[in-house]
Amino acid sequence: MASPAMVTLISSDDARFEVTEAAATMSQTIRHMIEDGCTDGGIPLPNVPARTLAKVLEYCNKHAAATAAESSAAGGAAAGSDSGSSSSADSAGKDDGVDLASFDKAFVEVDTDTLYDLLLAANYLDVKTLLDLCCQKVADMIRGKTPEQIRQTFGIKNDFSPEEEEKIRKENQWAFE
Amino acid sequence: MDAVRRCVLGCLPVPDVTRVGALSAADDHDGEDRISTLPDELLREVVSRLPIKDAARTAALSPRWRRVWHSTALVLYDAHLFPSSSEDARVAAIRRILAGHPCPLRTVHLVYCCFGVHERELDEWSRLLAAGGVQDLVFISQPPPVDMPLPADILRCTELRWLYLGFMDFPDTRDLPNGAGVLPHLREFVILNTCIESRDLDHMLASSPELETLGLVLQCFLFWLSMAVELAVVDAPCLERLIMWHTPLLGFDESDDATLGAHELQIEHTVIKADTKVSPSSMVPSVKILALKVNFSVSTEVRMLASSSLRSSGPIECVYYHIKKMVLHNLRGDISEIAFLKFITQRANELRKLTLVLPGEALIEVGQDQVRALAIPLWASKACMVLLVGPIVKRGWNFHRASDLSIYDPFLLEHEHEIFCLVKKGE
Repeated sequence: MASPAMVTLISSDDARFEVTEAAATMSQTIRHMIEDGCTDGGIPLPNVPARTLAKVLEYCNKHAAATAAESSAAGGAAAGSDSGSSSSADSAGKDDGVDLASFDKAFVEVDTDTLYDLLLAANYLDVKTLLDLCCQKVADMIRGKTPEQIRQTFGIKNDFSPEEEEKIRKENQWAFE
Repeated sequence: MDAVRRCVLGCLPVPDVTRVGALSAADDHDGEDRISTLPDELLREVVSRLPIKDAARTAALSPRWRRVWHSTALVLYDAHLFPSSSEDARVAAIRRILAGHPCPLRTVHLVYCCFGVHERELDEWSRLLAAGGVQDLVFISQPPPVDMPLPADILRCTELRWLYLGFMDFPDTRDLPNGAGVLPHLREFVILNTCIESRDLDHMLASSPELETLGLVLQCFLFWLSMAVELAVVDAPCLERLIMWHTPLLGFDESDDATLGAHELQIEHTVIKADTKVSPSSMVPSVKILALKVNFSVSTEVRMLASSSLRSSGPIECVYYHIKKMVLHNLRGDISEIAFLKFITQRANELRKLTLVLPGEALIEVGQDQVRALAIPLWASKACMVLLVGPIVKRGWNFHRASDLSIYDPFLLEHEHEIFCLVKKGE
């Protein structure tokens, strides 16, 4: 079997990362660069520092590997059902799903600064599932809190005057019940 | 009524936004306010993932967040308005949200409204939803009545991708504009206990060139079988899955089964997986998976299934040439079941695998007898594996799986064990 195609990514602070093309192209931004043939000497990512890029690539490697495993399992399932043998590929796929879900959950257990860095990087690199994951994490940090608690959690400065804030609360009274 | 409503609610898509899941503690943050330096588009992504009350409360954080809330596409599940003091309070909140939110109303799932007493709101909201470009709409009226007239404005929601309607009476489409431009993006159309005339269903199919999944979950079996014939002539080029589902009869709760004798409301599923190339004149050409739910204890239904659904145009082309795999759930050993299976096995010459699922251990002998009875007459298929399997560990088949196009075969099952397996060779 041929070794997988590799690409080199260069972070904003000039660190070089060698990754499989399958992992790298989870980023639509990188996929387009590869399609345009801009890969000679590595792909520069001027908006992503090494620390964040390493973390993003950890995510992409894990998910690209899971996708590859899933598609080979799905191929097996189709072949299995044609030949009539009851295949357990479906349940194997589900185990991977559980594994991936716990990976995702642990992946965003990070301090808020790292979370913002990941958000910005996922947005710039256009890795949809990672962006979803990070946005959901921030949403989970907001959910169930009063505005005062949310301000405390994120250090948000309240630049409403007391009258303005009272007016907004009145407008949305139903949301505060 | 509760059983019907439960069945209907069980068919609804899983919400993208939930109130369950881990909450983070309110740890104090003494650094700079980095979250507010994130671009608006990212903050909107965050806010759109919040249940509606949490989302609206972010408007009170700061002027910046207020602007973000007002520019976030609305995601409203009325389930997230509970606990609320009353129905009136919820209705007032929904009205305020729909009328007051300036940006696209992307997702609106209203499941708990008694539209029977809020008819004015139903009209008003339908107009607002059409104007707001709603993409994902679930409108389930809380009975009574079970046939709330649906305002025709709903058919002016040109941005719709997913449309689920429940306990409604579908509007008359005769005077409405027709054609592919009416609902150009609609991919999934599911009606749950909603009356629809076949001309109106034709209108929907003709107006939705992108339609991939059509779900008809209705109470009246006769009605939807006749519908299957109607569908035969309709042009729906993208339709991949046609799901017909039978809810418990109105007025009979499941607990009434024992008193209903032969017409008991136990529900068995017949699952027929046909190949892609069903004769264009007899079926919707692109349908790959057809799921029906039939009660075999009522013999008229079986006859109808055999005569109208599978024999929609002369020779039953679908059965003759294309059925490869068939699963019969909840085998009970009735004569009508055997008759149906013989009907299939003697005609389906591509059948490769027939799986019979027993509801419980007690019926093993019955199942084996059935398989033996089946083995006697000639089979059309050259080689077919017959599997008799025990109770399903996990229900492999439900409405969600059936309508999820990302699942290659929604009927792939996990059984406790195989009891019996034989390979039947035909001529």
